[in-house]
Amino acid sequence: MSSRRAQSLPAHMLEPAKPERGRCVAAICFSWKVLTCIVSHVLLVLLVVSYCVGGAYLFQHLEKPHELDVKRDIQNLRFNLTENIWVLSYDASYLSESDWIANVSKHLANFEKQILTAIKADGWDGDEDLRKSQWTFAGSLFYSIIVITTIGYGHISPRTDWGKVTTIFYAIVGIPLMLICLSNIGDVMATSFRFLYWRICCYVCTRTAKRPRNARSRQRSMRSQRQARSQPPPSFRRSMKMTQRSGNDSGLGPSMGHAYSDPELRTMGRGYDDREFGHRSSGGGRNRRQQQQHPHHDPRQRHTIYGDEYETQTLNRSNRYSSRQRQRDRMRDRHTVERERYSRSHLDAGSIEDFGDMPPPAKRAASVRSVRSPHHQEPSKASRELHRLHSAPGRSRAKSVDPRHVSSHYEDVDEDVVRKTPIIPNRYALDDFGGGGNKRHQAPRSQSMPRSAHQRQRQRDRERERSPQPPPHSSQRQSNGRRAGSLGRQSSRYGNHLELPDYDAPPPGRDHRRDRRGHSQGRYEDYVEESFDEGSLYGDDYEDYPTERHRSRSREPRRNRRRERTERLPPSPRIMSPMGFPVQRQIRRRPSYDCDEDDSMYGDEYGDYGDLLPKDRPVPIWLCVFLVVSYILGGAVLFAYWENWSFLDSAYFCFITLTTIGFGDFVPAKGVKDESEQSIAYCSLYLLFGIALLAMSFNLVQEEFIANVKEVARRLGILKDDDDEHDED
Amino acid sequence: MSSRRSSFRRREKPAFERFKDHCRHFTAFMFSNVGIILLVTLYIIGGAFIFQGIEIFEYERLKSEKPHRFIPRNLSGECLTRIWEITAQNISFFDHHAYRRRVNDVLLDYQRAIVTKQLKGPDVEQWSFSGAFLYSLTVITTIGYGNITPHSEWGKLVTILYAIIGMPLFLLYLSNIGDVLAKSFKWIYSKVCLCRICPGVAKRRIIRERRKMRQLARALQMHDMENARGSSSYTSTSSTTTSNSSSSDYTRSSRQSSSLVDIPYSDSDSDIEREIRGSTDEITVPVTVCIFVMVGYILWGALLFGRWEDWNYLDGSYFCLISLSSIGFGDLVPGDRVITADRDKVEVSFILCAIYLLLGMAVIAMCFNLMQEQVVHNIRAIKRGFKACFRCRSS
Repeated sequence: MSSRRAQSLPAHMLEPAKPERGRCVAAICFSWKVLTCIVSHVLLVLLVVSYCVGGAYLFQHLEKPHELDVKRDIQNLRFNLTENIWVLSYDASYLSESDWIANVSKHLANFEKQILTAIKADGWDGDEDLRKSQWTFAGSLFYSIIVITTIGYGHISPRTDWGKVTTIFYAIVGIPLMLICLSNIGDVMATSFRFLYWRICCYVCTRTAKRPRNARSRQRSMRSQRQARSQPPPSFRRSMKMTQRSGNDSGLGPSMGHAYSDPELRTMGRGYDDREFGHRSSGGGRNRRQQQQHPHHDPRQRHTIYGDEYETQTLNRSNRYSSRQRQRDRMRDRHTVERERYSRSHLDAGSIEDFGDMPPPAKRAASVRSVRSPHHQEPSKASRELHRLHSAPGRSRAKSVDPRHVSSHYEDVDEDVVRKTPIIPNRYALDDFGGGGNKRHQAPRSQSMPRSAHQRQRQRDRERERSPQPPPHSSQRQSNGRRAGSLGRQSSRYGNHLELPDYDAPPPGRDHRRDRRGHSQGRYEDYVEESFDEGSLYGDDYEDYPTERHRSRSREPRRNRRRERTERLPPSPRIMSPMGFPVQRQIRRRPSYDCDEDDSMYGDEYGDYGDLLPKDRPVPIWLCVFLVVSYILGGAVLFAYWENWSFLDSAYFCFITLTTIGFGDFVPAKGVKDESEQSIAYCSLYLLFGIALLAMSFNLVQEEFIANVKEVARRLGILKDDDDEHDED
Repeated sequence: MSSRRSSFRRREKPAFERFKDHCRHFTAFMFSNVGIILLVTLYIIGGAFIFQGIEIFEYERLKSEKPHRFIPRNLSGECLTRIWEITAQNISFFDHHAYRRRVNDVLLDYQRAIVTKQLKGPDVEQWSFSGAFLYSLTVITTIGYGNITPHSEWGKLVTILYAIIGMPLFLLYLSNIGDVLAKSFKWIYSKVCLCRICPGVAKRRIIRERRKMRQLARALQMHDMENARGSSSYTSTSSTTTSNSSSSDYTRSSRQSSSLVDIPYSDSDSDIEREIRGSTDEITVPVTVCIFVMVGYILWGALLFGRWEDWNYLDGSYFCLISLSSIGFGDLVPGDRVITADRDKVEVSFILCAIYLLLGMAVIAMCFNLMQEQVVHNIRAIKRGFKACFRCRSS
């Protein structure tokens, strides 16, 4: 199982959205992928098949002579008895009935005993035709399959010592091999089944089922298209590629917005803020929208600089723990963003900094910050004035590129793809950007209002004072005066959810963090914390989850726990499938069920399966159950036809076989001897495919099923909240 | 997992809540470990009663409907009379061959009758309570010896339902008991094999290990720095998207190194104390020990069954392995020998076998748990190394 994971993992990681790569690397990656595929699927199946065939030859070689010996023995036994009786009768001088019967019955009793021993100990099946054998090639093949699938009918079993020893070792090696193969096949089948189910079968019904949501999104898309005006939304991958390439090629070119738009896309792809975006765009002017959009990608870029590897790590992790973590991120976003916004409105004047006397890392930090800050600025009066005065053509142009880009294709963003897109190129793009680009951007401002270092220091101090105790909401509105007026709708939404969370444990001041950032070799924990704090800055418009704000208090402490969880390696999952096979539990992005209260929030995101890859969509349990039941019933019909059993008997046989109980009271190819090979072939195909099917359906439903069972158990009071290990199956 | 979560819960709750948590944990423990054993046992016993009732009832019904099928035939007597008739007819013994052929035919009939009788099995005598108990056990463990099988239709239907409910229950039992056993085994392993019981030895050992770790960390750091240099130059020069894999791998390696760096450099006593008294969760038991335990259990079972059932050593271990891997051929079944002899002894043998199986499957599950942990751990390490090589070459 583990090796399966090991094999499948790289392929998964290398998969999509690597737009541009060196040819050599691409070739290597491709060959690696192909190799992985071959190794994990084809080779494994071949291995199992050859293992079975080899076992068949081996057992045939070991057992067939013995079986023939037993048959010969039985024949000889009977001939001896006949001979004895003849001699008894012939030699007798006169034939008295009582004496004769007493003698012969003694012989007969001996004969019966010997036959019984032959049946029991030597596995004689009552047939003494030397041409027929249980251990034909087909029979031995069936036997090996029966062994490694742990069905164990027992209609043929090894009788020689060497056969037993071989069986022991054969089983020890073969059973794990079979398990790996089965879970692999189950995986593949599950994937394809999911694909079939969602892409083909249920296309129509999902459309109809998700009508309201889709309608909403369509509305959104229409709106965004209107904004995008002429630009038709390109396919996402292409647009990603384009933006990235442009961001890379021309880190400081005229298409500055592209560099922005990548992380923008990423946040967009998460699907939090499209709606909000729509509101914004409807509420405010274009310019305003741009301003508000920027804040939530900038911080991300910033921490791609500082903790890029950690960032990718958190992203990777978020593949696994994604739902919760993202949710938490969202949570914290709101807090931090609020905090940021406030502080920024005061900070704004001081946002322009000169980098001359800074150590390189700090310089970068500052540069990025300053890059961000002009877009970030909340419309405090001074900044507003400034804005108007120095509405630098360069900047406005950059902005005007940006939203169009963003709005044009956040509709068809694929979440997974987005999350898998690497971030490093952005870092370099930004690096250039931070080095050269900000000059271009900042030039007008820094000319107009040169700031000295001490002023910045003061700003920081002020900020440190303020950031721990977040401002009351009203003050923010005041400071946002104009904005509140123009964006009535939006601020009312803010008012809804931005009730200030209690910062009973005040987060570290920003400059504190910044200081730490200067030391590029911090410890990992610091980075993690930072990347979380920073990462949570982006995306300030998650107003769509109003339910969450009530829980902001209770969530706050959980943050720690979750972070720890992300730091841990994924728990080695163990689970037993219905066949008694330990199957790797899939760590898969899915709504977390153990926090019941989360469901309301997931409703928005996860109900909308349109955003998810088919890989992540659950297939209803009833469908899988239906599949398995129909498979058993279909098998029952077939076997009833092939083997002349009654329907109940063959259903019973199928069930006993597929659950690998394998009593062996009904075994195919026992009744009709002349077609034994054919029915053995049918049966082995049936059971191999059936077990793979079971594995598949279990693979499909296990998470959901476990969650359901847990839910039921919790309702019944059997399960307390804390024991997770009560997983059934 | 649960302990980790609960510890977090506990931290954030006041004292009263904590107390309540403790109580809840206790009840959960009671349910999860002791209760599940009881549940499985009761389920098996209930199943035994049900199957016994059904089979005996069906037998009685059939007997009353078609009594002629259930009159035991005196096979040997029939055969004897037929042979006597032949002998009496051929009193002159002219034709040796003809006589032999006719006697042989009679004997063949007799033999077939014996075989069919034997293979069909004595129906109802097997459904004693102990037999039914073993039957339900083999159903829910999916062993399925098949020495006793239901012959009535209702028996088959009930078997299907019984299995559908019983198998998840048994799996639950397995995972629970397997976990408990794994934990306790880890504890024992840490106490005994890592010498944590005697502090002096443990301390020396840890110091030695730390030294090794530090060397490793240093080497890894060096390697990492080189890597970082290499990868950054690679990405910047080609100015393309680095593959996610390499970046994440880079992450992992860097994290690894950082965690290694985190190892305290001081060999202070308190530190070591803490490590000695620390939780046993982090310990991974080597695979060899697990295999050793499994082999030992099977051999022990072979010894036991060899004594109970008069099997030789090979047969005993063969039986144990076939049973514990849930293959269950049924060619060797406990209680086979004794079934004809003593009634009381049969019960004892069945019960012992049941206990052996239940415990054994839990032990196997435990070993698989531990081995899986270890194997996953190893494979991850191998993968990391391989990735590092791969990246080096590609860049």
